[in-house]
Amino acid sequence: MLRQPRIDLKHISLAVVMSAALLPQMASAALGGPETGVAADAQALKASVKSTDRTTYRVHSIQLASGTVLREYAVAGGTVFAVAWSGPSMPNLRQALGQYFDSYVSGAKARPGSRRHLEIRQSDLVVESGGHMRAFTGRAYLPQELPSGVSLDELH
Amino acid sequence: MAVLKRVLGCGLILLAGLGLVSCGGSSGSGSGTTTTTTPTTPSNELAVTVDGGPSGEAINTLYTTVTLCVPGTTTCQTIDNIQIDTGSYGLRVLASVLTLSLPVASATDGNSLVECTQFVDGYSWGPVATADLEVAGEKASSLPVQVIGSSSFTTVPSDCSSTGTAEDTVATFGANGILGIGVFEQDCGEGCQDSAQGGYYYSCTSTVCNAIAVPVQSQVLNPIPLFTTDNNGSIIELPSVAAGGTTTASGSVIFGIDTESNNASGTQTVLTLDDSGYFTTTTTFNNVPLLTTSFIDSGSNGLFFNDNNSEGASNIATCNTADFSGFYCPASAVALSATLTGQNGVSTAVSFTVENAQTIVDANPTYTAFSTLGGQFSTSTTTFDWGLPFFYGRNVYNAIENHTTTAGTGPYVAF
Repeated sequence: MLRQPRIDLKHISLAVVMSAALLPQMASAALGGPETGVAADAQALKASVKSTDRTTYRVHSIQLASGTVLREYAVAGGTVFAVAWSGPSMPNLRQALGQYFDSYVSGAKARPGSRRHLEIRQSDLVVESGGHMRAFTGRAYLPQELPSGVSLDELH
Repeated sequence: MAVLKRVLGCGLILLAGLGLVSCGGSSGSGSGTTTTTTPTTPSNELAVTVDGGPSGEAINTLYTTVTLCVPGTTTCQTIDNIQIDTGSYGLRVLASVLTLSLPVASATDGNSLVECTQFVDGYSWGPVATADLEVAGEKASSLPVQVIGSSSFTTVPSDCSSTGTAEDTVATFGANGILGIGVFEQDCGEGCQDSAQGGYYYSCTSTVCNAIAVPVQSQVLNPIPLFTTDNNGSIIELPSVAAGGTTTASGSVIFGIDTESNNASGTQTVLTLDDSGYFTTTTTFNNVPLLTTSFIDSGSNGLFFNDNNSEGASNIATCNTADFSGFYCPASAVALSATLTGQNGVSTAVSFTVENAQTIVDANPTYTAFSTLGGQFSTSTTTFDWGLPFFYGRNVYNAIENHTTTAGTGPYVAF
């Protein structure tokens, strides 16, 4: 009834996990994908990338044509464990969330409509999205893939 | 809480060859009437009400009634339960409540212009149509509006649906439509004029849609700048709401600032905004004191902010039932204050109170207006979303970009 996040604690179905594990490694820097896909993604998006090394991971900032900045957080040579965005437009979440997009959609559907805030909390996926027209912020991360010592406050 | 469900079994049809969107039926339920509308008392004052909305279950949602007309004609339809939203720009109406046949706008290539409107958890897809909008005594002629949930354009491009789920019914929308009267003139702006961007505007034939660039004047527009006078902004005036809430709250949207005897700038604090509509909120309670992406938004139903300790845990207890997740449920009322600072450096302090959301909402099932409803804004560590509770007991000015009042040039908010 309230147009606000319902934090969904339901677990991602085993079937989804299994099918994801069986997928071939695609050259996509989506959440859960390999870091090596970032450059290919940026090329496909005709976007420029700026990469910054942090202590235990790298941040790839992709400047999208819409003016929105999409940040992908990856362990060097490893997995993209978080994505975050801010700007006038929502990013393409199908691309950014990759194999987790369907889980996000079903999580969003389970909630009453809200146009300002969204929060989905599952054991292996957290999505937070907020803002209003022409000013969006959000992030998605894999709690079990966060490198140790990484604070959630760094993922913005 | 009484639930009054309106049933309008009427879909949107594209009248082939005519480029008209229509529901084709006659008016059914008071929401749709075809009349000749001549305002007898020209006025810049629009009545608005916080009530339960179409479902009867809305909380802190501001509604009004508007009249839409086929451009240049007296064939009009009055539509109620339209949400007033300063967090968006332009009028959007659900196809299921529309009985008029409105002409579909053309893209620059001559095909139909169809829009994808993005929300944080989904999207609304539908054609841009042209209508004359009448609100109070004001009129915006040939206004581009979006008709959501059209049965004529059902193939949603993947880069539109990529934001999540469709919001294309009165139930998912919580309103018959939404009237965006925030500080910007268009819903996208120059970014959509300069290049075709997936996720915004599309040129559609009957079979295929492609992203297309759209001149700013053809985008879905905030109607206020199209008014003959009273076109530089608006003032939302709502009464105070006591702690614990109340059944309904009725007030006004006054169009124009310094254009009539009832909309003069006075001693309000003017906070100018950046290109995203942001100002800064400074707190003394949160672990991040400077909230540089703050905004005032009549379309948010609470005060959304973080009150975290140095470990990142919330100082105010959060609710533990699903319906109230994200809201605050403190054992006793929490009184706080914060300082709001515009891009112009002007500051003012605001005091507010957060009560237990579940207690106050459950205590009075008929109440729809709550001044003490608060919740977390977990998405961003730098945001304070001052929603509808902020508006109770205040006159909130929104001056539109590129428009001037005696107090300055928009975009600014003042109160």
